Amino acid sequence: MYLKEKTKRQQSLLAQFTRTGDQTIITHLDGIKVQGIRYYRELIFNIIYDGISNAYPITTNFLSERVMMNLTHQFFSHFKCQTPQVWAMPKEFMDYIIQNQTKLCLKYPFLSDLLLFEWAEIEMFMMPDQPFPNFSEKGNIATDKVVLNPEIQVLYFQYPVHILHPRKIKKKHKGEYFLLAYRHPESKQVIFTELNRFAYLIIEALHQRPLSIEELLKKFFNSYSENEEAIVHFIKQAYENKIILGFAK
Amino acid sequence: MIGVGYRKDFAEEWENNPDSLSVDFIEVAPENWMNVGGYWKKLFDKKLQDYPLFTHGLSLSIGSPDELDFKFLKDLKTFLDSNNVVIYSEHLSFSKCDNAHLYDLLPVPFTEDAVKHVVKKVKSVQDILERPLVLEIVSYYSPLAAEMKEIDFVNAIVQESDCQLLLDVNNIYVNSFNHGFNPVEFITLLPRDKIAYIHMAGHLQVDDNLIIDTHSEPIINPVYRLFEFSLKWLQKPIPVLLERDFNIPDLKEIQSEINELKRLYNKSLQKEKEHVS
Repeated sequence: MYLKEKTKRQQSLLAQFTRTGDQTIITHLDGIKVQGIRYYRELIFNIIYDGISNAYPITTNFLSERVMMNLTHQFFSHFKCQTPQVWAMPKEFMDYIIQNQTKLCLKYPFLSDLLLFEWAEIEMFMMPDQPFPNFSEKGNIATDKVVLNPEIQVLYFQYPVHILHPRKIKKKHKGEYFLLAYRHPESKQVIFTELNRFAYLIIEALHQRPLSIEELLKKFFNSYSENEEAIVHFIKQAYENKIILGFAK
Repeated sequence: MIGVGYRKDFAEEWENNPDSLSVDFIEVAPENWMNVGGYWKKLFDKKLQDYPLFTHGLSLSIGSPDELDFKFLKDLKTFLDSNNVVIYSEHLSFSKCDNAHLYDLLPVPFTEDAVKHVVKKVKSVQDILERPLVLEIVSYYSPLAAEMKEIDFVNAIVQESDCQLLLDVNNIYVNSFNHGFNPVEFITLLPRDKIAYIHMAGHLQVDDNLIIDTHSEPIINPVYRLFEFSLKWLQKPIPVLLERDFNIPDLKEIQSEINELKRLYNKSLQKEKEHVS
């Protein structure tokens, strides 16, 4: 390699300074203007903090800007950001917090759900367009196999972060919550809708392959008390809301 | 040709009122649109039906001690090819080090070994992307371990790698202010035939000795004057982009800056024609 160790080290030290803000590093940088170097740290930290606080506005509001800035500082100092796409960096922040901030996650057991909920909106907005299967808009909902919108994500939470403000979430709320996030096929807007466990299972089954109501009933009738009417109602609603695109050809 | 940096901030307004901006091309950072779909991509794709696309990357980190990210380059090539990108430009800086992205542009040490290192990487990038790399001379707020002059550093890289240059006129103004040199002299020392693209932007003076290249303010008159000089010196038409990344005003104000750039651009072309005839 052409790069001398000295040059490499200077670049590494500057990068370390911008990531950690450790003032002792400055004295090891050669031929610099201190004020300018300090601006790099400020500019970069602001980019990271803005990215994170914009991605997680509810979490930021709940934990406070001071705590969020501290978490940002810890994240950026210790974690080596891997994505070249700055919009995707907050996902790495979420993963870092869930893996490394054990105390905070114990204090707020819903924190990981909250971060996941907020990130899901960005992910759904940004994810690549998915190939749409062949389907017909016309069909018989009672008899034909229905086709699921491929641009969906089912989220599972232990706490109702999608319903309650974090300050109102208590231990007693711990349970099983399912949320469906999907892109409207025409407007491409992201829509969230809550599911019960039964609806979640129907979505999971349709995610595998198109099925008719009769097939869904066969699959779930023994395990669940829901009747045909409930399934028809759910499928009809899902069709109207574009969670189900149409009917298999 | 005068273009504008395409931003989500005004994408809807422009889509709803297509006459609100009159430009010849649009520019994006490929990192913001690669492997992306959905609502914003739908608007972006519509705009691509009407305008040629120029790109200005952020994460290549050509001056980094780290190896090139080949997975990133592969995705980048797919994006550039599939969108018929006219120009792929990047920054002569580093934004990744010790395997960590920094998401901003840090100054590369002006040294002989860094020249050789960057040249090797530029050649690899050009081979992989199968297109010339157009490198921007970045604004910087401090040199780092410099052993040679900035102009010699830039020229050595261009000469040895055969890349092209993006002349960001505002950057040259900012650097001349921050580091005390004559911007006109600096520009005239650049390899004129290698300049393929011009950027224009505003900045923020934070104290008596320091300007930060924020792209958050209107272009100031001294930068317009340096732009006029550059066009005259270049003696050829070159695409010009208006960058506005923060504190984005309404489209009327953006259009008025574009109009001013167009006026100066056309004036310089007219003078060039008169000179030739």
